[in-house]
Amino acid sequence: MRIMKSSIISGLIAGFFASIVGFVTSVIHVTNLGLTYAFTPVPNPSITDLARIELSLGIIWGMIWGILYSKFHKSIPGKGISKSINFGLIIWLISWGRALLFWSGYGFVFESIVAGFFRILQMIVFGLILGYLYKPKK
Amino acid sequence: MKNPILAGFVAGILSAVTGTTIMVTSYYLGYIETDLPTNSVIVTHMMVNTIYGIIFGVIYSKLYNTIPGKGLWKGLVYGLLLFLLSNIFAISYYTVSLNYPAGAGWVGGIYVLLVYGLILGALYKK
Repeated sequence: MRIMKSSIISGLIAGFFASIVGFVTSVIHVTNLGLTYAFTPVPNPSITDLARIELSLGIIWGMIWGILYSKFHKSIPGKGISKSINFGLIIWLISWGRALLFWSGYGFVFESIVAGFFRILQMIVFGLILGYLYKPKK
Repeated sequence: MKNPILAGFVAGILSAVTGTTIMVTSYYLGYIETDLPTNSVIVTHMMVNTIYGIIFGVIYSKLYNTIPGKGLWKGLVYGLLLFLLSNIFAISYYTVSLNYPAGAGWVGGIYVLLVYGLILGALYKK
């Protein structure tokens, strides 16, 4: 069911839910696995700060990605929900994949693999909700 | 060129050389400070930008019809879009984590991605 014509609002909602995944996985990344959050030798943020970072950026980038999804909708491979999941994976490849490859090169190999897996989950959730909500113009 | 992999590979290598040259020059002039070994930074930049040159080339071919503009302009728009989604994205995470020096390192990526976009726009035609 596609219920919204506004790509910004669809992106905002999808970004919000995806950021919850981002927050939970970041907490696991930092506390349970004891890895560095920002891939630099600085102290990890507190749980409250992680929530602030993940929610604020998840919502802002969700809106930006939502707009881009509406602009490039026709060119993205797939149909229905698979189209929006593909979009989420393309965004992961451009935004997270490249950064994680850089960090791997700088020595944060294990952190990059773990974060890469967690962020794929986040972007799949984003794509699923965006595809469910956004109704493209005909 | 009609092959996005080859066009992306050529654009990736040339933009990687441009970016690495600017970065190493900035490093020796004292504009950039890093604890990482220079050789490791150079190899990482060359490898990542070349590999991602190919990946971005393939994505460019898929989105080609919906990117505004023609030729060089289309490539430039694509380069700016990549800068937003890749480097500004990384900068945003560092900025809200209050790690400004690490974020500042990603700003220079605009030279890499603009050069990449221009070369890709000049080389690739669908």
